[in-house]
Amino acid sequence: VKPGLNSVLDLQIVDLVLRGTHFAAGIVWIGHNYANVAQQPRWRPLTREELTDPSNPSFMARLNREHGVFRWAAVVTWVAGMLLLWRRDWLLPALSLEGPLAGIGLGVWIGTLMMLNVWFVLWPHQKKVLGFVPAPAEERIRCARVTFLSSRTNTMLSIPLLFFMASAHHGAFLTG
Amino acid sequence: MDVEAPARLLSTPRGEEAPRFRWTPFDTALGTVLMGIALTVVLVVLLRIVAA
Repeated sequence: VKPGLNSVLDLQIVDLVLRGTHFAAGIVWIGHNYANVAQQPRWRPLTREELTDPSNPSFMARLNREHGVFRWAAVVTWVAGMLLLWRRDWLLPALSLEGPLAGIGLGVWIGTLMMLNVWFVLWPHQKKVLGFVPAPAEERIRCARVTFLSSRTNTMLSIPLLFFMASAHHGAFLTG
Repeated sequence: MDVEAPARLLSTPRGEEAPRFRWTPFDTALGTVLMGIALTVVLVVLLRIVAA
């Protein structure tokens, strides 16, 4: 553990809490994505009849809560992971893919891409699909395709992400 | 309107043809998973080449 930091961050319990938080939030985030794949394994175009009605406050509140939970879970996962690496002085070597930290570093880069995808590609389009932002029906249907592809991109990226996270202790093998 | 059920836009016309989009491997769960596995293999190979 990084010496010289303030006493709170030097505590082993902080490492344990960060690790637990990273895992739990990651399960909420990726679990939501996998649940979506299980519910809709194939692309099916959204029809006008399936568009949600923004005038139903109860339903919209539940949608907002659901999407807010996994969106912020992505941020919590990312922040906890970065702090974990930073506490050990592993952050910069990991980000620059140095030595045995190259595997976990790739995981960091993939996870960062996934979080940015959620916030800056998926969510702006999802807001229109769900009716949080007013848009014509045709635009909402088009955005449904974008959100589908954005979500499936994260499903794909989660596979190497989880592989590199799980192989953090096999860095020597990964780097030959 | 039933607040427990997903609400619909009742005023929109029904029976319209759904818009078509270009097919991608993401359109099936299997295609998505296979691409994820392929990406993992490629990254591991690249990592070993770069580190060698």
